[in-house]
Amino acid sequence: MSIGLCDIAAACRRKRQIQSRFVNLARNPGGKYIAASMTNSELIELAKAYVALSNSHRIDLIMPMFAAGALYASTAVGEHRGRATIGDMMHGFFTRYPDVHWHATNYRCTDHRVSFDFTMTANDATSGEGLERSGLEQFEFTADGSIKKITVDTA
Amino acid sequence: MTDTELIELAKAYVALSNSHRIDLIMPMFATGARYTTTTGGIFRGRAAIGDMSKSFFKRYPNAHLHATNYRSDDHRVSFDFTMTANDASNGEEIESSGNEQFEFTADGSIKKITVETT
Repeated sequence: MSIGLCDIAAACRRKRQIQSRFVNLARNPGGKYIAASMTNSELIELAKAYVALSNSHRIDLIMPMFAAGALYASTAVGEHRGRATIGDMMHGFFTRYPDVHWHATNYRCTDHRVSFDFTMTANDATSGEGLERSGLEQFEFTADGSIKKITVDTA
Repeated sequence: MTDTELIELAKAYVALSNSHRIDLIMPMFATGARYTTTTGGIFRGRAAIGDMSKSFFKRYPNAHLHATNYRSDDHRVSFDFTMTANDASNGEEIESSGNEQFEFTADGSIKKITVETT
Protein backbone atom coordinates (compact mmCIF):
# COMPACT_ATOMS: atom_id res chain seq x y z
CA MET A 1 0.00 0.00 0.00
CA SER A 2 1.44 3.39 -0.97
CA ILE A 3 1.02 6.70 0.81
CA GLY A 4 -0.01 9.52 -1.55
CA LEU A 5 0.88 13.21 -1.39
CA CYS A 6 -2.68 13.99 -0.32
CA ASP A 7 -2.29 11.68 2.68
CA ILE A 8 0.99 13.37 3.66
CA ALA A 9 -0.55 16.84 3.26
CA ALA A 10 -3.54 15.79 5.37
CA ALA A 11 -1.24 14.38 8.05
CA CYS A 12 0.77 17.63 8.09
CA ARG A 13 -2.42 19.67 8.43
CA ARG A 14 -3.58 17.46 11.30
CA LYS A 15 -0.16 17.81 12.98
CA ARG A 16 -0.37 21.62 12.70
CA GLN A 17 -3.91 21.57 14.15
CA ILE A 18 -2.77 19.50 17.13
CA GLN A 19 0.30 21.71 17.65
CA SER A 20 -1.86 24.84 17.52
CA ARG A 21 -4.11 23.45 20.27
CA PHE A 22 -1.15 22.93 22.57
CA VAL A 23 0.42 26.36 22.08
CA ASN A 24 -2.96 27.88 22.87
CA LEU A 25 -1.77 29.30 26.16
CA ALA A 26 1.36 31.29 25.33
CA ARG A 27 2.77 33.81 27.74
CA ASN A 28 3.26 37.28 26.26
CA PRO A 29 5.99 39.74 27.37
CA GLY A 30 3.47 41.56 29.57
CA GLY A 31 2.99 38.45 31.64
CA LYS A 32 -0.64 37.82 30.70
CA TYR A 33 -1.79 34.55 29.27
CA ILE A 34 -3.26 35.03 25.82
CA ALA A 35 -4.46 32.80 23.03
CA ALA A 36 -1.81 32.20 20.38
CA SER A 37 -4.31 30.56 18.06
CA MET A 38 -8.01 30.08 18.58
CA THR A 39 -10.46 27.55 17.19
CA ASN A 40 -13.82 28.43 15.63
CA SER A 41 -15.58 27.10 18.72
CA GLU A 42 -13.46 29.34 20.98
CA LEU A 43 -14.20 32.40 18.83
CA ILE A 44 -17.94 31.71 18.96
CA GLU A 45 -17.67 31.50 22.76
CA LEU A 46 -15.83 34.86 22.73
CA ALA A 47 -18.73 36.40 20.80
CA LYS A 48 -21.17 34.87 23.32
CA ALA A 49 -19.11 36.40 26.15
CA TYR A 50 -19.27 39.80 24.42
CA VAL A 51 -23.08 39.57 24.21
CA ALA A 52 -23.38 38.47 27.86
CA LEU A 53 -21.06 41.28 29.03
CA SER A 54 -23.12 43.74 26.96
CA ASN A 55 -26.25 42.45 28.71
CA SER A 56 -24.42 43.05 32.01
CA HIS A 57 -23.62 46.59 30.80
CA ARG A 58 -19.99 46.08 31.88
CA ILE A 59 -17.95 48.28 29.56
CA ASP A 60 -14.89 47.76 31.81
CA LEU A 61 -14.93 44.04 30.95
CA ILE A 62 -15.90 44.48 27.29
CA MET A 63 -13.19 46.94 26.26
CA PRO A 64 -10.18 44.60 26.80
CA MET A 65 -11.75 42.32 24.17
CA PHE A 66 -11.06 44.91 21.44
CA ALA A 67 -7.79 45.36 19.53
CA ALA A 68 -6.35 48.88 19.98
CA GLY A 69 -7.35 50.06 16.49
CA ALA A 70 -10.65 48.21 16.25
CA LEU A 71 -13.53 49.44 14.11
CA TYR A 72 -17.19 49.40 15.18
CA ALA A 73 -19.51 50.04 12.24
CA SER A 74 -23.27 50.07 12.80
CA THR A 75 -26.13 51.11 10.57
CA ALA A 76 -27.80 52.43 13.75
CA VAL A 77 -25.00 54.26 15.64
CA GLY A 78 -22.41 54.94 12.93
CA GLU A 79 -18.66 54.21 12.67
CA HIS A 80 -16.29 54.37 15.64
CA ARG A 81 -12.57 53.59 15.44
CA GLY A 82 -10.26 52.77 18.35
CA ARG A 83 -10.90 51.43 21.83
CA ALA A 84 -11.46 54.82 23.50
CA THR A 85 -13.96 55.98 20.87
CA ILE A 86 -15.87 52.70 20.98
CA GLY A 87 -15.92 52.88 24.79
CA ASP A 88 -17.33 56.43 24.68
CA MET A 89 -20.03 55.35 22.23
CA MET A 90 -21.01 52.41 24.48
CA HIS A 91 -21.04 54.60 27.58
CA GLY A 92 -23.43 57.02 25.86
CA PHE A 93 -25.60 54.16 24.63
CA PHE A 94 -25.85 52.42 28.03
CA THR A 95 -26.63 55.76 29.71
CA ARG A 96 -29.52 56.33 27.33
CA TYR A 97 -30.69 52.68 27.39
CA PRO A 98 -29.69 51.32 30.84
CA ASP A 99 -31.78 48.14 30.52
CA VAL A 100 -30.73 47.26 26.96
CA HIS A 101 -30.70 43.52 26.28
CA TRP A 102 -29.59 41.51 23.26
CA HIS A 103 -31.06 38.10 22.46
CA ALA A 104 -28.60 36.43 20.09
CA THR A 105 -29.14 33.26 18.05
CA ASN A 106 -27.57 31.25 15.24
CA TYR A 107 -23.88 31.79 16.01
CA ARG A 108 -21.59 30.65 13.18
CA CYS A 109 -17.87 31.04 12.41
CA THR A 110 -15.63 30.92 9.35
CA ASP A 111 -12.08 32.18 8.88
CA HIS A 112 -11.78 34.16 12.17
CA ARG A 113 -15.24 35.72 11.62
CA VAL A 114 -18.26 35.09 13.82
CA SER A 115 -21.80 36.10 12.91
CA PHE A 116 -25.08 35.90 14.80
CA ASP A 117 -28.62 37.20 14.52
CA PHE A 118 -29.97 39.40 17.29
CA THR A 119 -33.01 41.17 18.65
CA MET A 120 -32.28 44.12 20.92
CA THR A 121 -34.84 45.55 23.36
CA ALA A 122 -34.44 48.64 25.54
CA ASN A 123 -36.22 51.59 27.15
CA ASP A 124 -35.02 55.16 26.71
CA ALA A 125 -34.10 56.47 30.19
CA THR A 126 -35.30 59.98 29.45
CA SER A 127 -38.58 59.31 27.67
CA GLY A 128 -39.37 55.74 28.75
CA GLU A 129 -40.04 54.94 25.11
CA GLY A 130 -39.46 51.29 24.16
CA LEU A 131 -37.03 50.35 21.42
CA GLU A 132 -36.69 47.07 19.52
CA ARG A 133 -34.27 46.31 16.71
CA SER A 134 -33.32 43.10 14.93
CA GLY A 135 -30.38 42.44 12.70
CA LEU A 136 -27.10 40.73 11.99
CA GLU A 137 -23.84 41.27 13.91
CA GLN A 138 -20.48 40.19 12.48
CA PHE A 139 -17.15 39.99 14.36
CA GLU A 140 -13.68 39.84 12.81
CA PHE A 141 -10.90 38.70 15.13
CA THR A 142 -7.14 39.10 15.06
CA ALA A 143 -5.05 35.92 15.07
CA ASP A 144 -4.68 36.19 18.85
CA GLY A 145 -8.42 36.56 19.44
CA SER A 146 -8.94 40.30 19.85
CA ILE A 147 -11.94 41.94 18.17
CA LYS A 148 -10.68 43.71 15.04
CA LYS A 149 -14.03 44.78 13.61
CA ILE A 150 -17.71 44.64 14.51
CA THR A 151 -20.33 45.26 11.84
CA VAL A 152 -23.95 45.67 12.90
CA ASP A 153 -26.65 45.60 10.21
CA THR A 154 -30.10 46.36 11.55
CA ALA A 155 -33.11 45.24 9.59
CA MET B 1 -26.34 45.25 39.51
CA THR B 2 -29.66 43.52 38.83
CA ASP B 3 -30.22 39.75 39.01
CA THR B 4 -30.42 39.63 35.21
CA GLU B 5 -27.08 41.45 34.88
CA LEU B 6 -25.43 39.08 37.37
CA ILE B 7 -26.73 36.03 35.51
CA GLU B 8 -25.32 37.49 32.28
CA LEU B 9 -21.97 37.98 34.06
CA ALA B 10 -21.97 34.29 35.00
CA LYS B 11 -22.80 33.41 31.38
CA ALA B 12 -19.88 35.58 30.24
CA TYR B 13 -17.58 33.75 32.69
CA VAL B 14 -18.66 30.39 31.23
CA ALA B 15 -18.20 31.58 27.64
CA LEU B 16 -14.76 33.04 28.42
CA SER B 17 -13.83 29.75 30.11
CA ASN B 18 -14.89 27.92 26.95
CA SER B 19 -12.65 30.34 25.00
CA HIS B 20 -9.82 29.46 27.43
CA ARG B 21 -9.08 33.18 27.83
CA ILE B 22 -7.64 33.57 31.31
CA ASP B 23 -6.54 37.13 30.44
CA LEU B 24 -10.21 38.12 30.04
CA ILE B 25 -11.52 36.03 32.94
CA MET B 26 -9.20 37.27 35.70
CA PRO B 27 -10.44 40.91 35.75
CA MET B 28 -13.88 39.53 36.68
CA PHE B 29 -12.56 38.46 40.10
CA ALA B 30 -12.29 40.67 43.18
CA THR B 31 -8.70 40.92 44.44
CA GLY B 32 -9.22 38.59 47.40
CA ALA B 33 -11.65 36.23 45.68
CA ARG B 34 -11.93 32.58 46.68
CA TYR B 35 -12.38 29.58 44.39
CA THR B 36 -13.43 26.35 46.08
CA THR B 37 -13.95 23.03 44.36
CA THR B 38 -14.78 19.65 45.79
CA THR B 39 -12.14 18.07 43.54
CA GLY B 40 -9.28 20.57 43.58
CA GLY B 41 -9.18 22.40 46.88
CA ILE B 42 -9.31 26.07 47.81
CA PHE B 43 -7.59 28.94 45.95
CA ARG B 44 -7.54 32.41 47.44
CA GLY B 45 -6.67 35.59 45.53
CA ARG B 46 -6.53 36.46 41.83
CA ALA B 47 -2.97 35.20 41.30
CA ALA B 48 -3.62 31.78 42.86
CA ILE B 49 -6.88 31.39 40.90
CA GLY B 50 -5.09 32.43 37.68
CA ASP B 51 -2.29 29.90 38.23
CA MET B 52 -4.84 27.14 38.93
CA SER B 53 -6.79 28.07 35.77
CA LYS B 54 -3.59 28.11 33.68
CA SER B 55 -2.60 24.64 34.91
CA PHE B 56 -6.10 23.33 34.29
CA PHE B 57 -6.30 24.64 30.69
CA LYS B 58 -2.79 23.37 30.00
CA ARG B 59 -3.85 19.88 31.07
CA TYR B 60 -7.30 20.13 29.44
CA PRO B 61 -6.86 22.51 26.45
CA ASN B 62 -10.28 21.71 24.99
CA ALA B 63 -12.25 21.87 28.26
CA HIS B 64 -15.86 22.85 27.61
CA LEU B 65 -18.61 23.72 30.08
CA HIS B 66 -22.24 23.22 29.14
CA ALA B 67 -24.22 25.28 31.65
CA THR B 68 -27.96 25.24 32.24
CA ASN B 69 -30.59 26.43 34.71
CA TYR B 70 -29.05 29.79 35.69
CA ARG B 71 -30.76 31.35 38.70
CA SER B 72 -29.98 34.33 40.93
CA ASP B 73 -30.77 35.39 44.48
CA ASP B 74 -29.21 38.09 46.70
CA HIS B 75 -26.02 38.68 44.65
CA ARG B 76 -25.57 34.94 44.14
CA VAL B 77 -25.88 33.08 40.84
CA SER B 78 -26.02 29.31 40.47
CA PHE B 79 -26.10 27.02 37.47
CA ASP B 80 -25.78 23.34 36.68
CA PHE B 81 -22.98 22.20 34.40
CA THR B 82 -21.50 19.31 32.51
CA MET B 83 -17.80 19.63 31.67
CA THR B 84 -16.08 17.61 28.96
CA ALA B 85 -12.36 17.62 28.16
CA ASN B 86 -9.41 15.56 26.96
CA ASP B 87 -6.23 15.24 29.00
CA ALA B 88 -3.40 16.66 26.85
CA SER B 89 -0.86 14.21 28.25
CA ASN B 90 -2.68 10.99 27.42
CA GLY B 91 -5.77 11.96 25.39
CA GLU B 92 -8.06 10.48 28.03
CA GLU B 93 -11.57 11.90 27.93
CA ILE B 94 -13.14 13.15 31.13
CA GLU B 95 -16.67 14.25 31.92
CA SER B 96 -18.00 15.70 35.15
CA SER B 97 -21.29 17.27 36.19
CA GLY B 98 -22.28 19.44 39.08
CA ASN B 99 -23.37 22.79 40.38
CA GLU B 100 -21.43 26.06 40.34
CA GLN B 101 -22.28 28.96 42.65
CA PHE B 102 -21.05 32.55 42.29
CA GLU B 103 -21.12 35.25 44.94
CA PHE B 104 -20.63 38.82 43.73
CA THR B 105 -19.52 42.02 45.44
CA ALA B 106 -21.92 44.98 45.32
CA ASP B 107 -20.07 46.33 42.26
CA GLY B 108 -20.28 43.03 40.36
CA SER B 109 -16.88 41.43 40.92
CA ILE B 110 -16.72 37.71 41.66
CA LYS B 111 -16.14 37.30 45.41
CA LYS B 112 -16.45 33.53 45.61
CA ILE B 113 -16.96 30.54 43.33
CA THR B 114 -17.96 27.17 44.74
CA VAL B 115 -17.90 24.15 42.45
CA GLU B 116 -19.59 20.97 43.61
CA THR B 117 -19.24 17.96 41.37
CA THR B 118 -21.71 15.11 41.64
